[in-house]
Amino acid sequence: MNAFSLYKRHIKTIPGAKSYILVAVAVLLLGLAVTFFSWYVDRQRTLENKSAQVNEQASAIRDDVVNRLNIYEQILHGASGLFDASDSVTGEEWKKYIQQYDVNKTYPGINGFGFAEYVPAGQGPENAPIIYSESYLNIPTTAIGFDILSDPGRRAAAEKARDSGEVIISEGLVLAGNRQTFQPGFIMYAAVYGKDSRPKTPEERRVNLRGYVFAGYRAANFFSQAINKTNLTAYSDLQIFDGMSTDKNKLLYQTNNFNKYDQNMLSQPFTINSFGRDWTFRFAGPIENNQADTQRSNMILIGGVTLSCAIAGFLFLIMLTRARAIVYLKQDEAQQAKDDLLSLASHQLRTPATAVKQYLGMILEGYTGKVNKKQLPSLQKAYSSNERQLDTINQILYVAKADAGRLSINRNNFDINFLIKDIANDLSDTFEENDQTLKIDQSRKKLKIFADEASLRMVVENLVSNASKYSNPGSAVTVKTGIKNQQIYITISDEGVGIAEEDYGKLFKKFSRIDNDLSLQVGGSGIGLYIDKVLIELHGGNIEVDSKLGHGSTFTIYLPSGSAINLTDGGKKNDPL
Amino acid sequence: MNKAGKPKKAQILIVEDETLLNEAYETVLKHEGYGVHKAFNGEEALEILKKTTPDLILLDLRMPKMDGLTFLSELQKKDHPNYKIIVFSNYDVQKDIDSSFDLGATHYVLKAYASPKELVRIVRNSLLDE
Repeated sequence: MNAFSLYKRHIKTIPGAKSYILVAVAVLLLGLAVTFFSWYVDRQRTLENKSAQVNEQASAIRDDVVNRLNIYEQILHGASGLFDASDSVTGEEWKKYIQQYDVNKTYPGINGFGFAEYVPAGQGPENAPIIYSESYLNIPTTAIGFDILSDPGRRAAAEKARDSGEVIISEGLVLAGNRQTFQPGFIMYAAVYGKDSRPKTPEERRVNLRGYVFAGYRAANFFSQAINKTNLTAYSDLQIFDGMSTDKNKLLYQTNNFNKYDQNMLSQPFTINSFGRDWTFRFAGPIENNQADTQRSNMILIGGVTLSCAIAGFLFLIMLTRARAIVYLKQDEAQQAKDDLLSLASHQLRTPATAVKQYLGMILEGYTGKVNKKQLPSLQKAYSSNERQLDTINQILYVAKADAGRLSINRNNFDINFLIKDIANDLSDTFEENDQTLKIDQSRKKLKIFADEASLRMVVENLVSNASKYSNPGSAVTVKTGIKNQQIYITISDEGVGIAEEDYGKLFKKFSRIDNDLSLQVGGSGIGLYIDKVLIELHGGNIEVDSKLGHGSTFTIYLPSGSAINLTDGGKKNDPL
Repeated sequence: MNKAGKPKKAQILIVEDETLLNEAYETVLKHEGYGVHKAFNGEEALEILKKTTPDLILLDLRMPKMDGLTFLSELQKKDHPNYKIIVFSNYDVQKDIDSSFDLGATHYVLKAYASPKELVRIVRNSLLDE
């Protein structure tokens, strides 16, 4: 039988166990649901915090970038103002204007400034060669003469600036860098119009176009200078793309450590639009989730699951315990009712049986005149049958008491040897009538024991009268007491019919009766061998039988060593009642 | 009353609600030469005690109108001499036994164990005891 079937059987004994299981499971599921909900909410909050952080850093970057660009825009405005103020601006005037800002020192990140003069279509197509250039990064001045309209990217930005009258940033371009490297960058254009022209519409602007002032940037240089890393507390690695997507072909800038990150550590991209240009940014990291967040998340999960299981289990246990207690209580009540009924019935049966005993006894004992020989046997059989009835009623009452656990012993000090002599005295009539001898063999004058005197009396009386009952006339019954192996023993031996070995087991069962030739009762308070055994066992002792069919029996009562009292102590004789 | 040479007959009061038993005891005790008064409950017994003083009372416990233990406590209250009382019961309940002795009974006997001869023996021994 495995654990599961044991469990099933156990559960079956308790009514409502199935519904308790359901309740416990429901509570468990509820607890788990709450746990997972809390964990989810916590996770969401963590994610929100992360995304809030991203937003914060995004704002910081946006501010840095836009502020820096605004500064350069101011310079460009100033530069176009230069052209507004005069019909022609010399190279020297240009240089002086630009250099006054000392941009490389104050706001580094820019390649340089330049001016391209617009040449309308005439003999050839329109063009706009660069005529002035001020660079900060040792860029070869082969930029001079370069027609900005020849490159589509530059052209688009320039023409947009022309039409809108605003500063416009180009798409990502490949710029010539120093030492012949080519790097992504962009150019900021501002259109310059005719002096005092102040065009208001795109058409007017086109007509009055003089040229373009521009600022060129290497993306890496610009972004690394513009972005204040100290504002980035959680995310210090980023990518910047030209346009609205994270197309790797349009990567403008990337921090050094960026490649160390997994895809899943990249934040949602966000786009900044400035001066007509979209740039898309993306953060990376942190490498690990915040430890505190992970711990808390795990704790919520583990704690919640554990608590749910504990509560559900505890609840289930309580319900089961209570149910079991109720079952036991009901069983107790039922048992009690049964006992009470048994007791009542037994006592009620005693009354008429007692009357029979009196009247048959009166006849047999001569109170109603002489009984003739023919009548005598019938009367005797009737009388002894009634005695058996009374014994059975007696046994019922004792057995009911024992079953209910209400049989108890009250110990006192008394001399067992004296008790046995007293019993012998009480039974002397019986032995005389049966022409039997009762011998007492006591190794000591007094044998004081600490036991329930009334119970011992009943048990010994029962065994002795049984011995007489199951022996033929002329035989002897011997009662012996003593101490052996630290145990007190009382043996009752007879020379009677004996008991077959196969009947040993039946002997001490409830209401046992082994029928033989001499099952004729002659009085005696038969409480039965079952009760004898129970009473002795309540003392911590035992009754044993040794017998052979046809060769008599010996019953031995053993009482544990604790029952003996200091043997040198004479002790007082107890008042029998 | 004392007649010349004849010993006074001992008087026994039987208090028992079961008619069969009551009469059986009466038959046996009368046969043995005792004077017998009968009562079927505690109330009747008290009435009888107003008129006579028995030498011994055989008292059943479970009776209607007034049970044995109540009768015993009534005896304690009134100015009665200390009667010799044998409680005759079929209930061997420890509480009953203790209460009986506390209330003045001198013996407690289970009816079912006493054949007529044994009843006589017990009565005779009690009367001889002082």
